[in-house]
Order: sequence, then C-alpha cells, then structure tokens
Amino acid sequence: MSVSRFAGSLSEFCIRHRVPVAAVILVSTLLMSLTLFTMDVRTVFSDMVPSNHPYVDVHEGYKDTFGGTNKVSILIEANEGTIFTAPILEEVQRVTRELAKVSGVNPFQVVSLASRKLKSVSASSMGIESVPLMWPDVPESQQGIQELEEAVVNNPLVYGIYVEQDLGSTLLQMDFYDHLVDYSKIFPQIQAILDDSPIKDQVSHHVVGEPILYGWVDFYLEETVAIALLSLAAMLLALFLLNRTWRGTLLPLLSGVVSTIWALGIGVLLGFNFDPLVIVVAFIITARCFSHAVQLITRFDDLCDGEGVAPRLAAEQTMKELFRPGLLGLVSDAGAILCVVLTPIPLLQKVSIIGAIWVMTIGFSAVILTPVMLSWVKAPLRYAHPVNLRFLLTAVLNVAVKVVETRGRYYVLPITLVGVGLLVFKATDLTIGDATTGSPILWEDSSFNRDSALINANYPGTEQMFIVLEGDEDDALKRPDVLDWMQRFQRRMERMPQVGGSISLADIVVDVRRNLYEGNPRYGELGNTRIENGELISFYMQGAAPDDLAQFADTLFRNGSVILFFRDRQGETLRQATYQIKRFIADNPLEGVDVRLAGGSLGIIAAVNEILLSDQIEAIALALLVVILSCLAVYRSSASGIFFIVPVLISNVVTFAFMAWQGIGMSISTLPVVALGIGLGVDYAFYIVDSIKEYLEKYPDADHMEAIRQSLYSAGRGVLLTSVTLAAGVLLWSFSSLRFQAEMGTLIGLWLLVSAFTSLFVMPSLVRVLKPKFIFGDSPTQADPARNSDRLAQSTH
Amino acid sequence: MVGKVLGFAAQIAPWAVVSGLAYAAAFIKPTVEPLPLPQPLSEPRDLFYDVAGSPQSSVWFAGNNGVILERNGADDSWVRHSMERAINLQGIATSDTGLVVAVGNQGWLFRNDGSGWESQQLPVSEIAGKLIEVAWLDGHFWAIGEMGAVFRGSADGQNWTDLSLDGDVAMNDIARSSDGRLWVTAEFGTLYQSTDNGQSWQGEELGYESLRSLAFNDDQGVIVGNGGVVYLSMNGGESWQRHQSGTEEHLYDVIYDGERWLATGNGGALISSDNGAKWSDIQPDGFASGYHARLMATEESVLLAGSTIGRLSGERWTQWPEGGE
Repeated sequence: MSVSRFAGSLSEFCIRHRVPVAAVILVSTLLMSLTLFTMDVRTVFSDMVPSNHPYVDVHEGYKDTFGGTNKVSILIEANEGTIFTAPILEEVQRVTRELAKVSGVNPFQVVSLASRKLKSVSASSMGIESVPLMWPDVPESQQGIQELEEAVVNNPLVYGIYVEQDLGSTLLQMDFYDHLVDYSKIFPQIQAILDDSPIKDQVSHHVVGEPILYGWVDFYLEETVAIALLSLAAMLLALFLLNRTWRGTLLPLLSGVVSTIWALGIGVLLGFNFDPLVIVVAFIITARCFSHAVQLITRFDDLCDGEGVAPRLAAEQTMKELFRPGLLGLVSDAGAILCVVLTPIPLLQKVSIIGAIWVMTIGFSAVILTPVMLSWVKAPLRYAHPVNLRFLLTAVLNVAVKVVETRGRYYVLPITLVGVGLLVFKATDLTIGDATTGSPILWEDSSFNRDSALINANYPGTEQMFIVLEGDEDDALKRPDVLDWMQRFQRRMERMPQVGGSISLADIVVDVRRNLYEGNPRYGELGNTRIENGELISFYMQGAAPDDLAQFADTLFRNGSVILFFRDRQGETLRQATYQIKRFIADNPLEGVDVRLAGGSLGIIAAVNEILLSDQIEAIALALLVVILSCLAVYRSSASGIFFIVPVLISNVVTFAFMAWQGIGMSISTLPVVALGIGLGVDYAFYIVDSIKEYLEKYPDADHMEAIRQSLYSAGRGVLLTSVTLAAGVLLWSFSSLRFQAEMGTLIGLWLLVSAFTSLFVMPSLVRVLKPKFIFGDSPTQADPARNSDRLAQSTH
Repeated sequence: MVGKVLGFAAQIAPWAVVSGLAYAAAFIKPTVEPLPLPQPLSEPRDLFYDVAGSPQSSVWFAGNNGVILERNGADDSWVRHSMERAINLQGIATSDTGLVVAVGNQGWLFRNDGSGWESQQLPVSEIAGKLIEVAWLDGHFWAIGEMGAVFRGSADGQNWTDLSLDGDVAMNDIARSSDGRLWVTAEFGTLYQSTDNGQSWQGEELGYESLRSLAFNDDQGVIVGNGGVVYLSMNGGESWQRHQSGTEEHLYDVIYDGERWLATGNGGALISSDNGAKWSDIQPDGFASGYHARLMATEESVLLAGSTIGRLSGERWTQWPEGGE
C-alpha cells in the first residue's frame, strides 16, 4: 500500500470515528499524566560519564580514594588583615564541623585547617613530631595563634594550598560519595551553613565545585519553568495574533501538552530522571509539535476559507494531504534523534530515547488529534479578533515568490554556496569542550564564576585531574626512581600556565625529610633508597589516621596518584594537558610501573571531549542517512535525499559558526541541543517541497511556478508562522539566569529561522532551477494560464 | 548526456555525503596542535639556597634541580642555566676573576669561567655527601659539607685539597676573621676554628641548636642558628655571648652590609641590628613568608636567595624575576 493510499484510509477512519479516536487519545493522556507526580527532576553526574573510555576506567577504579568528581571548595576570606584571629579560626572550625554533616559527604575527605588531615610536621635538634595543625581545638591564646601561623607558613603542603600566600584566606575542601550525591540537597545545606556565620562582618565566603554548580541549576529550576511557561504564552499569543482563531491557538497547545505528557510519562515508566539543563530539549520538541499542528491548521484554513470545503471534509483532506510530509518529518526527526543513542554517554542516551519517543507521539497528538479536533469546527470563517497581521507574513512570502519567479533564482545557489563556504570556515573555530574559563552554564558575572575566578587566582586551582601509577609490586611507590619520576612530572606539568600546582606522595616525602633535618630547606629532597623513603613515610604516619595518605597511595604503596590542579577546564587546556602527560610518560618510561591517565572531574571531561567530535559527526552522518532512507521510501528516489540534506547542512553550518563566533563550546551540555537540531532543518523543507508535489499530483497539467507559488503561500505560510512564533518564544530564554539556557534558546531560535528561510528562499529556487524528477516526473507540462490564475487566487486568499 | 550525468550525480550525491561523514566519524579524532611548553625563568618548584656576585656585575642564584639563574646587572637580563645533572645546588661562589663555582649533593661541583659549565665530583662520603656551601676567601675556594667535608680549591677551581674533619658533622658556613682564622659553623651547636688555614680544626659547643652561619666585621662576629639563636663576639671570636633575636624561627644566614647586621631564615624571618646585640624585625611589603637561606651585600642593597629571590634596599623589597627592578 502506498503512503498516499494509507493516508487516505487512515484519515477517513479517524474522522469517521472521531469521537472514540479523540477519547482514546485524551483518556490515555489523562492516565499517563498520573505518572508525572513521581517525576524525578535532578542532575545526576554519573549520567555524564561516558562508558568504555580508558580515562573513565581509571576514574572509576580510584575515585573513592584519589578524588571524585564532586569536590566542593569553600574559601573563607578575611575582610581585613589575615585569617589568624580567634573569631575567624573558630569560623573555620564551625564550618568544618558542619560540613561533615552535609548529605552524602565523605567525612574522611573534609580537609581544612580545622581538620586532622592538615598536619604540622615540625622538627628541631631534639626530634620530630607530627600533629594536626588546629584539631581538635582552636588556639586559645594569641601566642598559640602566632605559633599556628608560623606552622602554616613553614608547611609547604598547607601554605599556598590551603592558606593563601598573604594569609588573607583559607580553603576548605570536601568530597562526597558519588552514589549518595544529591545536588538539590547539598547546595542548600552548604548555603545554610555559610549563611549561619556569626561573623559575616569579618569574613566573606566563596564556594565552588560541581555540586554547587548543579545546585545553582537546581536553584534556578523555578525560574527556568517560569521562562518556559512565559515562552509558551508568548508563542500562543503570537499564534493568536497571526492566526486570528482560537483553533489556531489552542490546538497547537493541546498537541504540545498531549505529547509532553506522553513522553514524560513514558520516561518516568522507564525510570529516567530529568536533568533541568535539558529542558531546552523539551522545548525544541514541543516546537516540532507546534510546527506540525500549525501546518495542519493552515491547510485546514486554506481549504475552508479558500476553497469553501466543509470543516469535516476539510479536516479529513488536511490529514490526508499532510500525512506524507508529516510522517516523513517525524520519522526523520525521530531517526535523527535516535542516532544520538550511539554516543556512549548515559545522559545523551536518555535524551535520545525520550526525544525519539516524544517526536513519535506527535504522530498522534498533532497529525491525528489536530485534524480530528478540527473536524468539529463549526464556523471556520469566524475570526476571534479584528487585528489582521497576515500582511506581514504575506509580504515575506511575496519576496520569496519574487525570488523564484525572477532571474534571482539563478543567484540563489551560488550565493548560498559562497555563504555556506564562509560559514564553514568560521565553524572550524568551534571549540570541542568548554570554551570559557568559568562554567559555561552560568554567566561570567555570576557569583559562582566570580568565586571560581577568585579561588583560581589565589590558589593552585579548583579543577582537578589525577594520573595513576600502578606498580607491579608492593612498596613500588617508595622507590626513589618512582618518586623522582613524580617530581619531574609535576615540575614539567606546572610549566603549563593553566596548571596552578600539583601534589603527590613525593611532596610529602620531601617535606618529611626536610623536617627530619631540623626543618632545613636544603634537605627538602627524596630519600636515597626505598627503605629511607619508607621510613620517612612512617614518620608522617605517626599519629595519623589510616586514610591520611589515601589520596596519594593505597595502603600497600603499590598504586599511587599525582593530582594536578587546573585553573580552568577549557577544551584546549585539557587537550594540551593530556598531550603533555602522554608525551612525558612516553619519554620517561618507568620500569615496573604502569602510568595511566586520567581521573577526577577533569579526567571525565577530557574523556567526554575526546568522544564528542567523532560522535557528533557520526550522529550527523546517521541522521542524514535516516533522511535519505525516508526520502527513498516515500519518494522512491535517492536524489530526493540531496534536496532535503541541503537545509540540514545549512542550518548545521550556520549554528556551528554561530557557536564559534559566540565562544560556545561543543560540550556534553550543548550536544543534545545540537543533535536534536539536526531534525529541525528538514521538516520545513518537507512541507514546502511536498506541497509542490502534492499540487502537481492534484493538477498534473499545472505550471511549475504555479505549484511553487501555491506551496509558498500555503505551506510556506505555515513554515513562516511557526518559525516566527517559536523564535519569538525562545527569545525569552535570553533573560535566563543560566547562561546555558539563554545561549541554547538563542541557538534554537537561530536554527528555526535559518531552517525556515532556507525552506522559503533556497529550496523553491533549487526546485525550479534543477527540476528534480521526484517532484516533476519525466515530462513537466505547461498549463493553461487562465486556469492557473484561478487556482492561484484561491491559494493566496 | 549532460542531463544523464547530472541525474546520476544527483542519485549518488546523498550517499557520497553520508559516506564522507561516516568516514569522518570513523577516522577524524580531535587533535591537538601542541603548544611549546613555556620555560619560565623561574619555575613554581624552583627553590634557591645561595647567591654570589661576580666582578662583571653578574649575580648568580643557585638552587634545586640543578638550576642556576644568572642576572646581568648591566642590562637587567636573566639567563636560566640547567646543569647536566639535576642535583640540588647548595652553594655558589665567584672568584675575583669571575670564575663561578657551584656545589651540591653527592659532592658534585660545577665550574664556569665564561666558556660553559664543567662538572667534577669531589671525594665525599657515600653515606652523606652533600656539599653545603662554597666560598671565595683570600684567593681560594672553600667547599664544606656533610660528614665534616672541607675542601680547599685553587683559584681556577680545578684542584681541590681535602681538609675534611673526621666525624659525622654537617658543616654549614665558613668565614675568615680579620686575624686570618677560619671559622666554620656546624650542626648541633658546634663552632670550628682553624688557625693554620684549614690543616687542623678546633671545635667548641655553643648550646645544642645547630649553627647555620657566621660573619665578621673587624673584631665583631655574629653567629646565627636554629631556633633563632644569635651569638655575638666583640673580640674576633675569642668569646661568644648569646643574645635574643626576637624570633624562634631558624636563622640561616647573617651578614654585615656595611651599615647594619642582617639575618634571615625560615618563615619570612628578617631581622637587623646596629650592634649585633639588639635585634629587631624588618617587615618589607611583599616579603615572602617562606624561607631565605642566603644574604649577599652589594654596594646599594642586599640580595636574598630562598623560596623567593630578590633585593632589599633599606626596607624596600623587590622580588625577582617577576617585576624585575
């Protein structure tokens, strides 16, 4: 059975049994909505961790000891003078104790001046002793505070790392058990601890870290939802103004609501959580839903208003006529989205599955439900308000028609090629990974990014990556050549301007040896033998908790880490760093020790960045393949594929160039939007081109230009209406407190407009100039001008 | 014909595009154009232990990892020298002719007469062979170190005579008093003196804290050491009296800069005295809180080597090389 015959049977069935069809859809929607009460809206970091990447294997193997991805750093800064005053030190102690109670915290990984982790290893001519700097109590006398200050200044493992060089601030760090992390709890709990400070007039608090970042995203969830609703309202208002009918306003809304409930409900049933960051993805798909509904309503209006067809028949005819391009668009969209499932990142796989399901629900909510609801329209010619703004749309469409009619059509292809060529050149500047120094999720002047800049300016860096040394025997880490390798590696990596510092077991050995020699800096060296290094480590462990060295070595000293602190997480920084690490490992082989990279939050991000580019190209290739196969199935012509690839390529190139221009990096956050955007480019073209074909099938003797003209005034109007309406809606996203949402909103708006204008101004000219067979057949005919003008009058009415 | 070709091209074009992208997905990986790793004049992990000046207005800072920084005072230019062996260099001295000698761990000695660095290893103990200090005194280089190591070198730095003491004691600093005697401060409060140019040594105990450095100005001598100890002699070293320094930080060096006594050490300690008996803190703006191991007086200022290097003019501190002069 051909698509057209199936469309005819389906539309006839649906309209004939419109009550049960509508009832089934609406009742199932109602039932599905009940599942939404259990919807889990939160960011889960493990969703962003790619599988089967060597860095991730290293991270997963050692994250509990060498450092997880959820570290939080809190800076307590004295408003005047140094932190070495009783009230400020007591504040450090208070915050440290309270942090140990935060949800999901690993209490052994709370490190501050007031924790037992930071020790003073002091020595004199009489001996060596290792005691916590300020645990369990804050010094009570001024002399005690002075001694603490001296102990800090003389401790290279603390001074400059946990206490600022000018003594004006101190850093507290905490880590979490990954499986217990709940950003929505951590953020408010830490904020509450800091807000409870009894000495707010003496200190300021600054806090950064992945849980805080996603805590901010969660914090702005209400605002995000409010903006989404406002956007929706703005789009409905635009539809109401331009369509002038209640059906033109409410039916797209109904379709959007039905699809959203079905998709989210299925997501809940599948056990998926919803990341607030991908709410823009929901917006894109809702936009697709609106687009299909508006196309149907526009065609319905044309039939009722222009050709005088009765509403019930018009609804059936609308469904039949637009079933083919609608189905083609949905299959292409869903297929393109589903291609992203191959990316081995759980977040993207979830987005891909839900996105594909969501798009397919449009087949019911818009392609079927909208015509069914339209069949009940009683007075199709009655407008809801007197304001007629259609002339605006008509003016744009007139220009589009003019381009095709005149010799201008011959310039479209070369101009497009030159324009796309230039944009491709710009798009090559696109950064893989983050392109900015702070978090791209928040604005540069956000308190998070300001805090991050402050800490990175005064401390080695808030972002961490660790490499692992795996020895082939116990105590391998005590070997002088292994410790020396660590020191040389650290020295080399610290030459990178973006690396603020590093720390390893070797640093501890050096410091203990210095202290053993009366604190003499000339003896800040490694021991000469494995036994000597072992003894030095034993000195350090005297009176220490068993896990005090956990972040540097395992208990058998077989496996150890070197932790690198970075000042930013930009894609280029990570690529340069991993290059330098690999090069050092290759140039300095270590017998009996396997050196592996890379764990920590930056290890994960480096892994994501390494797979993003190839996966993105792969997703685009597969999405185009889906488009071509869809075209092949529907139009029986692979050449039709090249037509519909054009708008996809143009919108992708424009968007990538825009991202490069605006400094938006291709990251795990942007990839879902970009991946879903592939489908956006092709829908409008399907409607325009299929409308030409449909017209020629209906009127085989019609003139080519006439078919194109009616397509632009009918399907083109729907395209323009949808794109302008949706673009107006997404503009509101630019007011979001989340930079990511604002940028993605702009990106989607741009994508919609580029797709629409490509469909209106490029595709018709290509059709007329190239005269593809899948549209015109082998022998296009010329028609009677008089008859043509009659039909044209109807279609432009 | 043209139409057929175009038609054929249109049929295969979509597949060509997809194949091209598939190829790109399979074989194009994010590449990095490696940027040259910058070599800063002073690396974050550089630590310095000694400073010396040459008659040619160059200043040399010796430090860990075999690094020597040379500053040419004429044009304020800097050069970073890395020795062939990345050992920690503990001391550096220059002769009247500008020959530079640096000493360090395992008895290694590096010599540069302007034509490049040459190395040689002095016969030190295998147990502890760190050479801690080298000085240019009256036409000879003197290198001292662990296990009682004392070596006297010729003016060209080529020939070295072993004058070491027999004992497990680290020699920290060497100086000559105005009467020609040689003095060496050592660990655990021991002070050595030699009246026969190093052929024999007599030791005395000044408390238990290790003595780090001594200096003379005519008959006045000052010794500093661990725990902030300061000893003053008003009679050319015949007797020593302990004085309060006002700090308990280890003090690593002392000099007389022509106007005042200056001592420095751990924890940003920097103290001065007009008479060697009464000491007071100096707290120049920006002076690092880390350690400083050596002081060197020049005509207008005093140079310091330690966790940071720089120049002290009066009470104004200028850190080098950042900020320059």
